[in-house]
Amino acid sequence: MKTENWAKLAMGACAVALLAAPLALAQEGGPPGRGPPTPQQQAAAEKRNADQAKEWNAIPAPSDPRDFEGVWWTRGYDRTFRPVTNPPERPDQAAALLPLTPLEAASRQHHLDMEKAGTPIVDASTDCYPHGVPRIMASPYPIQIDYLPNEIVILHEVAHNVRYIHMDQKQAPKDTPLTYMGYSVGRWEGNTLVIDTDHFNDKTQIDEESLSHGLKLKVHEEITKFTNKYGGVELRDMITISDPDHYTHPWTAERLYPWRGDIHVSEYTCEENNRNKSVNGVTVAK
Amino acid sequence: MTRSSLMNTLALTAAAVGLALAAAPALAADTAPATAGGAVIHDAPKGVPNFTGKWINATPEAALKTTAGGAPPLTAKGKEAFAAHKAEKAAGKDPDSNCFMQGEPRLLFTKYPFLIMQYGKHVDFLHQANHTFRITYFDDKLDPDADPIWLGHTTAKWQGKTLVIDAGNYNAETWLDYAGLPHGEKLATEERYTLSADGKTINGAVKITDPEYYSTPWTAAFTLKKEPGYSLEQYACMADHHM
Repeated sequence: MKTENWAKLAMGACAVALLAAPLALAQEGGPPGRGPPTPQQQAAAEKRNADQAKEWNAIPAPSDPRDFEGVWWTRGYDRTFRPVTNPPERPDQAAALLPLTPLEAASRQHHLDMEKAGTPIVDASTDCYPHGVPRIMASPYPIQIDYLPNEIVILHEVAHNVRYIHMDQKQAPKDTPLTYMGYSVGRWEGNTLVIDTDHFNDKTQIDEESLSHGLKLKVHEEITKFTNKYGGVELRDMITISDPDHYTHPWTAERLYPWRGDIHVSEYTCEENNRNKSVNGVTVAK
Repeated sequence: MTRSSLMNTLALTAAAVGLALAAAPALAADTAPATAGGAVIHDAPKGVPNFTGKWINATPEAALKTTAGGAPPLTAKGKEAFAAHKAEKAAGKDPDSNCFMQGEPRLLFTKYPFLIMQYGKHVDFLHQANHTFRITYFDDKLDPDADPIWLGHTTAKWQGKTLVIDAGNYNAETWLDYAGLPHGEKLATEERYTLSADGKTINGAVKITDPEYYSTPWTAAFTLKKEPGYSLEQYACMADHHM
């Protein structure tokens, strides 16, 4: 078995990730919430990032700034989205900066309380339904981007989720059904891929930790490719979340996806041996 | 140049320009790179037929037959397993009822459409049935020690204009078809895809080799018809089932 598959397995089958402790979030320096990294930690992180950039680009990323075809894999494991403006110093301070409506504030607290009690509330992905957007973009598994004439397809390793981005449409067709993954239309603004997604059902969450949404959810994404200071290539997805029932104003989170020329997307069957499947709306690790 | 020869030259030139104009749209259509809304598809297939598109099995089969129209050559063990699967099916225990991946070749014979996304380096099958996808690289090698998985480990190659996908290391959890034809972990499949001249039909065949369950390798044929468009409907198997 290849090393990366062990890494994926180590992250756990299916929704076991729901219960796992967050891994180190930051590319540079130490994990958040523990003060600034020591010089030794900083040096180790620099070396690790440089080594990774070299290894991951052994098969180089496409040079065309609009060519996202290939395999990408976000670093680490971050269970929640945080606003990029005025970012909190610690993850647990994020709530104060999120523009929560009273409805969402109560909902979020309930989610946190239930998790603390050892019975986290399930979301769609816990029972192997599609993860939804933007939830799927925070999943710590590789993705493959395929281009078709006038469509872009994102194949997510986790639970074989699929996203279609319709590049030849400006909005969802009339009578589009409400679905887990919604309906996405896309366009190029310069070298930025702009995606607007709506027509969601209300069975998914915004993130794995605590944030919810309703039927009014609209997600706006702006994806660009850039080269980091170590020579590695990454996609930056700026994700703006709008749902007036849950958030007082739209807010934007960021996710980075390094190029991974060194791996393939593997098979992932959530439905098999799902140790976290729900019982009466909550899950208990088995 | 005489007047008449000048006229002839002009006429010839005009004819040539006319021909060029008439030919131009066809040339443009054939040579312009395909784009995803303005992004060039750099890894498009070159020098081989392009299977990219939405396809559907023209004659979905619940029970696979050999190309001669006969029953597959089950061994004694195969017959026993087939009978057991039929009993399970009668009891509502098709593996598909748990939304497990249906495996191959069963997925190729469903009534649901699927995408073939073909590139220079890989070819991807994306089925509407429970949004199941299989990614196959042309430069991959089958590894007999790889862990068995639902869709098997695959590699692709070209034999002339025929796309050939070889797979092995399947787990033994799937059925070959809806009726419950069995297989074990020694199953090897060879899929062959040939595009018709008009690009609207694929003649397909899948050869089944599994000496534990079948006395000889056998082949089932299928015909795929091109469907318009690319994207598939969202099909969440789990949403229709109670866990």
